[in-house]
Amino acid sequence: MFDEQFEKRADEILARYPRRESAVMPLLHLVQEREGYVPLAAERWVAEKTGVSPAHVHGVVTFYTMFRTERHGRYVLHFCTTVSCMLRGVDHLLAHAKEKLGIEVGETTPDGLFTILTVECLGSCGTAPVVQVNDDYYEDMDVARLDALLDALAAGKEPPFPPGPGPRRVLVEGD
Amino acid sequence: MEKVLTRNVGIEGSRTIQVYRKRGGYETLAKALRMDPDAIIEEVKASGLRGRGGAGFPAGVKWSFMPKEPAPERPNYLVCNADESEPGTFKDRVIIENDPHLLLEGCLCSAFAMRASRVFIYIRGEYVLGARVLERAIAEAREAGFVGEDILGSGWSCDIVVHRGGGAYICGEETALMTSIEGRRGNPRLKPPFPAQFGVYGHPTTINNVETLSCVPFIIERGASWFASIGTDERNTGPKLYGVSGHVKNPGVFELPMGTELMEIIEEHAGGMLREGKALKAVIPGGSSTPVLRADECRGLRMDFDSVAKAGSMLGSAAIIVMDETTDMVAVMERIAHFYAHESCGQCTPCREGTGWIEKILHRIRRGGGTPEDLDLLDQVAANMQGVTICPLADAAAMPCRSFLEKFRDEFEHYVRHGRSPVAAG
Amino acid sequence: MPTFTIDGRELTVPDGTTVLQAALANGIDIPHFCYHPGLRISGNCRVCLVEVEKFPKPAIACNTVVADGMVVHTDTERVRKLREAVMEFLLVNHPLDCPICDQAGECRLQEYAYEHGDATTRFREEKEHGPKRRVLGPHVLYDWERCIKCTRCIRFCQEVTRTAELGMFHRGVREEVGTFPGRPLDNPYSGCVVDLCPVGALTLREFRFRTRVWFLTDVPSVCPGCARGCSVHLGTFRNEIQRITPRVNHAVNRWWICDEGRLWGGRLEAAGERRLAGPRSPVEGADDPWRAALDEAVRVLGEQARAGKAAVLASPRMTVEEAWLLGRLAAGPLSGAPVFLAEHVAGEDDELLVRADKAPNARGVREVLGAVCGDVLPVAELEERLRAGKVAALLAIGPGLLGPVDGEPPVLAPDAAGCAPHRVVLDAWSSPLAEEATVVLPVAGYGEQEGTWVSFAGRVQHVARALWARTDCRPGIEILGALLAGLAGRDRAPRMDEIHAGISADVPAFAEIDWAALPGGAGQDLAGADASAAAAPATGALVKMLAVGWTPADE
Repeated sequence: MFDEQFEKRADEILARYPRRESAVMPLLHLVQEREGYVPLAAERWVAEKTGVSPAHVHGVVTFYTMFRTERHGRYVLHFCTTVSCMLRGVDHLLAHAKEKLGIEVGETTPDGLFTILTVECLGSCGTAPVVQVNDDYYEDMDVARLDALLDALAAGKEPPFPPGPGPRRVLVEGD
Repeated sequence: MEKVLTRNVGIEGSRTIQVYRKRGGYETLAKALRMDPDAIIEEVKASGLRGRGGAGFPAGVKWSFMPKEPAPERPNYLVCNADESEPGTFKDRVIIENDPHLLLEGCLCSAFAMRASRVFIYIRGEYVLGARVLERAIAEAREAGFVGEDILGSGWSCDIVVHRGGGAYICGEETALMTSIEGRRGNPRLKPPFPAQFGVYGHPTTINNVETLSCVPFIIERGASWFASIGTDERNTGPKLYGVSGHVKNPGVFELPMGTELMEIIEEHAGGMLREGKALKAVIPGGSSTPVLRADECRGLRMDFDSVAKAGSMLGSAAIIVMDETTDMVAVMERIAHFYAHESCGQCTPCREGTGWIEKILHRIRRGGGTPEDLDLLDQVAANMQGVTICPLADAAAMPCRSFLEKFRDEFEHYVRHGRSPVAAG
Repeated sequence: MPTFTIDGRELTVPDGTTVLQAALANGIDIPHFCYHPGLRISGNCRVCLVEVEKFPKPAIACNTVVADGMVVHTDTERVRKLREAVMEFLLVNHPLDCPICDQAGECRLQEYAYEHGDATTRFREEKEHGPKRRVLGPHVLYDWERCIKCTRCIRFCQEVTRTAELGMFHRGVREEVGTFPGRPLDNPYSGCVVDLCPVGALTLREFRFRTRVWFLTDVPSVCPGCARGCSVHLGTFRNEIQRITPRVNHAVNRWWICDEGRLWGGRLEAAGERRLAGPRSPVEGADDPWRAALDEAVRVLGEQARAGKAAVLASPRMTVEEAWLLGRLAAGPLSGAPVFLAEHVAGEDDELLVRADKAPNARGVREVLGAVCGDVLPVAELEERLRAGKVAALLAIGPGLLGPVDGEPPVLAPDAAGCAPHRVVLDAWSSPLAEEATVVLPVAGYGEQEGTWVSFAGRVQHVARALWARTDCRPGIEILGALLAGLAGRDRAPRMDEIHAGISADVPAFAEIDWAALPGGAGQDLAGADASAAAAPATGALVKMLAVGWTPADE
């Protein structure tokens, strides 16, 4: 199903563990990195490589929220909605994002660019609210920063600021 | 206080082995490898180091459960719990992303003490940057001879594997974590058997938090009595990372002596209340699983394991969530309830059904459909979840619910009576 | 061997016994769902919570190993409240399906809710909803809403059949049992998950909505499918086998049966019109067809036996009683006619229950015939003799005694069978042999007559009569007894107890058999046999127990 180079990387991962089954999760991450999600055929591939049943792999894929069973947008926007981010205004930020992009949570924009997801605590409570864009944590987000980021990504440009903490800001009305 | 755990944070190149070694790193490992492993365990016991993941179990005692002479077909394992998913917690990230070699040195010293031949660092899947930083650091350490065969000629070999999670809070629970390493769904296991007898792959395993392990090199280098001299008393010792979030001007992670007063942390280090004129209303002291405290309960409270327990809550992961008077406590509780319902693994009946039930009742109350019976019902449902499940997630879901009801009952009653929050911001 | 106190009673149990196992084996019925002695301990339903003195919290009885001096309480106010709480949680999302659910009447959720629960629920919200008729495999359907996520079915496929088709998907309250697309639950034991399911989440397609279980009479019997001899219950109603379920037998099949055995009743039903309708003989328009057929059989067999041209073909599907009578015939009035034994071997033994030998009494027939009339010869030799014209009258017991024979190769090569001018055939379901017979004597079919079978491992078990035959047939011992009486000049056929006495006298392997104790039990071993050694592997919680000679309470 995959090319030789990919198989080689997979085998390297397998070799790191005393038991093959431990490689189920890292191999699923590897597949998702490459495909953007985990296709059903890939679940079977992982099952074969690790010696577990396909039902076992599917159980793992559906247990852990990071694994996607469907293609999503090019940029998956994970909004943390747990307590600390809630206290720092993520609900308002999320509402703005939905309006700006014209989609609901779980949906992808028609141009295939953005998907909005809500997730639980990402461990960035000191720089809340945080939006994880694919692998990157964009922290200290507010409407202005989010707009700047989304506009840049939509235009195919580099993000206007790197992932990580942003300028310290005070909560504003409406947050 | 002198910076210990965070001494390298902010130093350029602190992630690299060169900078780490230039600042004295890995000297302690060399010292440890010349010591008797049991002596290290005794030192850690004497230091009073208690687990910084949430449970506060004495680390040295935990290590002493491991077999002293592991059989070749049953090697000892050390697992570093870097799953950090307790809401409000973001302290381990500071070490992982800024001073990965400190963690590695802590893992290696600890692994040596407990005769482990392999370390699994289980890092939550969302910490992509952290995993990358750790992998690079391990490669550096391996090249320098600190990881692998016959480390520093000691005869002891140890490998370190970084294992990424996939998005599941429950995998921070030690038995679920081990099960996840085995490539399965993160379902917690029955105890007995305990990890030190039957852990990863059935081998003896100890699980320790990132911060806990990061303390170890300092204990070995400077001695147990130095560590124990910091803090409240001999049962609450050492430097501690406190994470502050919510309605403060300067949220972040602060390294302070164990037992620093809560109001000092909030007012002096975290910059005080976020909004002028908005008073403190409530504080969750140790992550969302810990009972909430009213503002008046925060005065004079020392943030150590025993003091917070005496105040009716828990130090937990020392994740301080600050709420001011504009906070709708019922809405916060609803959000917390959603978290636990989302994260329940689903194995046991009381947790699987109870977390969902609590969430549904709170939804209904928030939408204006609450009745007076609902409040006692909530408390009873939560009470029925405590002490009866495979793992403590059910208790972690129940405790905030019961404490919010106890401390802010009037807000719940207002919702029931008027269909909305008493707080203006709503 | 620790001694502990439970509800004031002192019990001494083997090392490693859990509180739940000790309780169940001693008449203390601690409620439980996820525990099953044939599966590893799961401990997730939380229903078996009990109080153990000196323990900081209530403990689950299924995972608490008895320790010396332990004191356990299963019936205090606190334990009752705990159980009520867990029952309430279980019912939060469980649908009110009882009126349409197959499990009603044998549903532990119903029983426990009634006994240990509160009469009302405080849950007012919308229940979780999900698929109610998901097809897991050719025989098993899954109702998500009823499922209590006990994981018994998943553990079964992992540990017993080792096929792992079932997995748990998703998380929390949306957990669901399912299969990987393209890999349905179709292992040969798939029906066992329906037995295991404590509620009506898993149902057998062939039994769905068929009968209410409280109408069933469960008759203990043995499966006719192969030489394993699994103990079963024939659930009968309205003179039909409504369903077949395993009967626990630790010397043979433990808690399981294969799908083929489980669905035997349906096979018989579907082949109804292939039952032999009645006796047949060359005599046209006889007033008493049975008399005519029996007389004709006695005549031709007697004649040809005196001429030394009679032969007997036995079937490994006969009962030992029929085999003894046949043997007495062959050795006696048929003056030493050679006896041949058919074989029904197909496929291979599997690692669990299924045997390649598809005849449930091959060993029994061989033992009896061997003792009564000496060597038993293979069918190939009979075919030779037939083709050489050495056989003028063949007395044959057909292959269709226990069900339709489609798919099986003919017992006798058709060209050989036709070589004997007289062919007297006893059979139940039509077979090529019966079709071509000159005299047909229809035998009562499976479930219509009682008898005794011996498994491949030497386990002697009673086969029950559970049904009245709907066609014109008679018990095999009556027919053979009539032939014996006719040929030996006796006035009547032997009775069952006389047959048993005869077997015990003639066949050393049966010398110690206590025939009266066989019906409804787990059977007895032939002399010199150790059937338990060949029993299905003990998996799960039982393994440790059996090692110390413990017999657990049966499910």
